[in-house]
Amino acid sequence: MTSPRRLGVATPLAVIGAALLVLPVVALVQRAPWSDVADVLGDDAVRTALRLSLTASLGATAVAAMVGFPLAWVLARRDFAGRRVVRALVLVPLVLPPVVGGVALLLAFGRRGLVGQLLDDWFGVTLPFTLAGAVLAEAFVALPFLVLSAEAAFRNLDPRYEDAARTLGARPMITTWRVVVPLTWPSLAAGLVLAWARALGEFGATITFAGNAPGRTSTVPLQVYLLLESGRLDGAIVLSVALLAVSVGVLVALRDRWLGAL
Amino acid sequence: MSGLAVDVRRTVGALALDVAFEAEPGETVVVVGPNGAGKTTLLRALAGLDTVDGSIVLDGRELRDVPPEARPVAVVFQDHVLFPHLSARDNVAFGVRCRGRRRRREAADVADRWLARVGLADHASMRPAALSGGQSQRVALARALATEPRLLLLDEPLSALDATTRAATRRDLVHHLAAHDGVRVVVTHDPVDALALGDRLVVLEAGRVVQVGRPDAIRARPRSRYVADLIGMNLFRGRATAGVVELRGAQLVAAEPIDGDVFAVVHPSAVALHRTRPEGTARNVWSGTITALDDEGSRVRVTLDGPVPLSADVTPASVGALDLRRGGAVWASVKATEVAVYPA
Repeated sequence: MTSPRRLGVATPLAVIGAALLVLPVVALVQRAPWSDVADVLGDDAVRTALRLSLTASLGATAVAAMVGFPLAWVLARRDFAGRRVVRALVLVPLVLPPVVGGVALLLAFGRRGLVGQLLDDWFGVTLPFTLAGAVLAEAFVALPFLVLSAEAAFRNLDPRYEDAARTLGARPMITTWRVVVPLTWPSLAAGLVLAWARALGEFGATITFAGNAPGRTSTVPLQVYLLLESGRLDGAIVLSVALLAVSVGVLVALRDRWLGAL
Repeated sequence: MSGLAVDVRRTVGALALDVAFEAEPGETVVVVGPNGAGKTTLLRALAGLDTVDGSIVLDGRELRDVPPEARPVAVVFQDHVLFPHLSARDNVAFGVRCRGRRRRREAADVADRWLARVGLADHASMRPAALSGGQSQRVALARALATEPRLLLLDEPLSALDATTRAATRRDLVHHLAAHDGVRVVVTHDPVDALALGDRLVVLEAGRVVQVGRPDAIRARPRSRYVADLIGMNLFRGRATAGVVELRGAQLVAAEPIDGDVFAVVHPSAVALHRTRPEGTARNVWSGTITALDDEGSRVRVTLDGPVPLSADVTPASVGALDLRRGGAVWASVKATEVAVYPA
């Protein structure tokens, strides 16, 4: 039962806030040239961009998972000096402007970078302006989502399950695969999906570190920018709607976790 | 060289654990002590889940630096810690597969046999969430026994159960433990469980062993306040001269003419209460104030404060007859023949 009340200042502001969130999306969908979808998607550059995006974002998610899950595990289970510092550092890509992240990656992994120089000298590997570079840039920005989600899951897992597994003869690897992963899987999967969605939409760090080379590093967000710059608004809109659809899909997939928990 | 020989030390915060005891195959040793005495630390050390100094020798093999997964040891955890994502069968088969490197099918067959042995054959495909407390305790026991451990550890095995299932589960447990041919070490704070399960008791207080012995021996001659409380006895310690024990500000007369530093025990049922100072042959008579009355059904335990703090058991009828109530004054008497004394 709500008591009678006067219309205060909060309600109109709330309406404006909601409109601010919804209006741009509505505008985007409303302007979508539905009849031209086939044309736009048939365009070679667009198809290449879609393929690149898929490859780079999945690659970035794989890289993030490979190092992010172990990192989350160590943060959740091991006690070491500087753990709080490391945990704070994990958040850096979350708050850092992506373009700054790109510059930082360039200084670390560029041909004259801290590590990049060694990679170049020893292995002849150059990352900037390659697909591998795009993968690295996307993994950089996606990592915090995966680590935060997984660390919370590992931390909430009763360590006695691991104790029980080990006293039953399970080596650490078996314990991980047969006990820890099954018991934390929903959170790990959510972390993977979030990381992938973030990687898929990544723009700033990618364009700075990997450039915008058509057919090599020009992923969908970069392609949107290119189309917009060259006046092909319809193409930009179609690709934008495609990315929007993925975002909505992620929201729907994770709705129970978010709408339930928050 | 078979059996268990433990001699371990570990400091955890304020607790300095320093414990040594031995156990033979087929024997159940119950480590009993108050919370914080170091029981769980000891159990985790035996399982390999915590590191310790000293040595843990099982069947002639030093286990101290062996990781838990490589020890022939199994644990029944408090609250059981069954894997919630696995069925009862897969919980039991988990250890069988890991320990025996057996195939999936074979391990499932072994698991089914163990579940049948604990009377849960028709619960094999249920998840732990669907099992009752007593059932999940039996699955945990089957899971541990199925790995054929040389040392079986049980941490407060009955504490997660309610009163009704507890007695039945305790009887089952005695039976299953007797069928296991290795060493059993049970950790508990519960005196009833300790006395029912143990072939031998190791009494632990503040990280140290204060008494070791068979349950009946410990019951007859407790050597610490904790054990005395555990079995509901009045325990005193003092210097005796010809059977007269000097307590702080009082005397306790025993029938036996013992000398030196002694323990003396008096069963609460041997303490008689009176409204006025009793005339008679009882050698020990003290006045006191009632600080508590605990109705335990067929008897009422009366706790007295006075020159000699004491517990007395009386019938519910005499509570009314003697007008016993908290804060009231009473006289207590104990015959010298009811005072058991032994050297400290």
